[in-house]
Amino acid sequence: MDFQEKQILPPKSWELFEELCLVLFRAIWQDPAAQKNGRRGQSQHGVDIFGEPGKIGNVFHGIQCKGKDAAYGSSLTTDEIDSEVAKAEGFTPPIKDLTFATTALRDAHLQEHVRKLSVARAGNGRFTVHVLAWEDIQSLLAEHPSVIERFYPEQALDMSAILRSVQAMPHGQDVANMLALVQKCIGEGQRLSPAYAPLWRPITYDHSRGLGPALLGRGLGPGDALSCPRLIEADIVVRLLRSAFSARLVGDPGTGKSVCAYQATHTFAQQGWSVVRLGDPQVLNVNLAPPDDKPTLFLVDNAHLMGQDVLADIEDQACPTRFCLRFIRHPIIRLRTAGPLQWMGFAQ
Amino acid sequence: MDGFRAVKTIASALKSDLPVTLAAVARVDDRVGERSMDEDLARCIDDAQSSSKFPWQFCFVLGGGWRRADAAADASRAHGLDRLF
Repeated sequence: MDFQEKQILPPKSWELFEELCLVLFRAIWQDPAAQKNGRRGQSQHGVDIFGEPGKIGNVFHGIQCKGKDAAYGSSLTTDEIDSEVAKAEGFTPPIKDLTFATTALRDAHLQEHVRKLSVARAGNGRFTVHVLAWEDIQSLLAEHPSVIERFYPEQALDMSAILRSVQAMPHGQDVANMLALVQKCIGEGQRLSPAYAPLWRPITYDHSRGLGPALLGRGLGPGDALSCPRLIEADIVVRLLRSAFSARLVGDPGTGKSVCAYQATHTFAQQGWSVVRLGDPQVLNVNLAPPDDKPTLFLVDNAHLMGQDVLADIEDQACPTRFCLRFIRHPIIRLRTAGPLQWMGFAQ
Repeated sequence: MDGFRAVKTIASALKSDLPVTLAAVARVDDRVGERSMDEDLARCIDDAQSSSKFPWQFCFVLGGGWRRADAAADASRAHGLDRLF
């Protein structure tokens, strides 16, 4: 239901009604400098509020607030209007228009009197006169939600606007994309079981192509690594993982890091371990939490693309049932704790 | 990783089972074999080892990489693209 269709009572006090009129006409006139005329007890020349509508240049309009209904104890009369109009003649500089804002209900007799009076005065070059009953004021309020919010906060709930805002919010595929981005950023994907797989991809060794791909310089998979002669470093990696639970394999491109890593991890795979590889090395946080209790070896390729804090966090999670092996393409060995083991290209 | 040691390990392993190694190498470089005029596999392995610092270089040389590179350069020259090299 619109604000205009509701039965809204005027403010309980005349002072509050005058304040409401001031705020309302500041909005209508688009004149934030509109103000009350003097203070109580001072001569106001029939004008309670004055302002410059549209700021077109020293053209003042006035408001006379009349709290007139059962709550305020009386009703607005034609004589009272005539009397107040006469007083307003003394307002300087002369006003262009005087509006009576009343809490009384609309009165056709009074409206007719004011129309005739206004036309007659305009013909004589004097300010025009209007009267606004409470229904008219409520109608004007409906066009200025900020005023409603201030004086009738309980009525300020605009369901239509809320609905439009909700409809304008991201939804559907937008939300799905946002969720995917958030999961990637916080690296919590693996805690949500279905998302574990994209983050950690299982490694299998059942597809060997012999030495051909290696001799032709092709990329080698886990199965291919078993076709290559076992490197000494693979056995070193196995020993390091068993004793320290994590190891770093460092070397120049083409030194056989991948082959070595796959050969080492195959040793554990044969002993019943799961071997998984990180799918995206640019995640910001990785939790080594396998979906089951099976011992798992986590392989991190392209570790040089990961932040040092992320790598350190991964290695801190390594334990007797969760091994972590990372290989780095740059021959840069960073020692992160006191007393680390560094031995022939390995940093632990 | 120690590239030299990896090369040495690979070369030793390949030489320890020459028939299997020959089957793999001959598929990518038909000049290597046991026929007359063929290049001896053990010598190829030694040559590849002595000229390589990294396993990828060893595999490149042993797999006839230079021969393939020459062929690619010739093809490029034929198309007037050899200046790119």
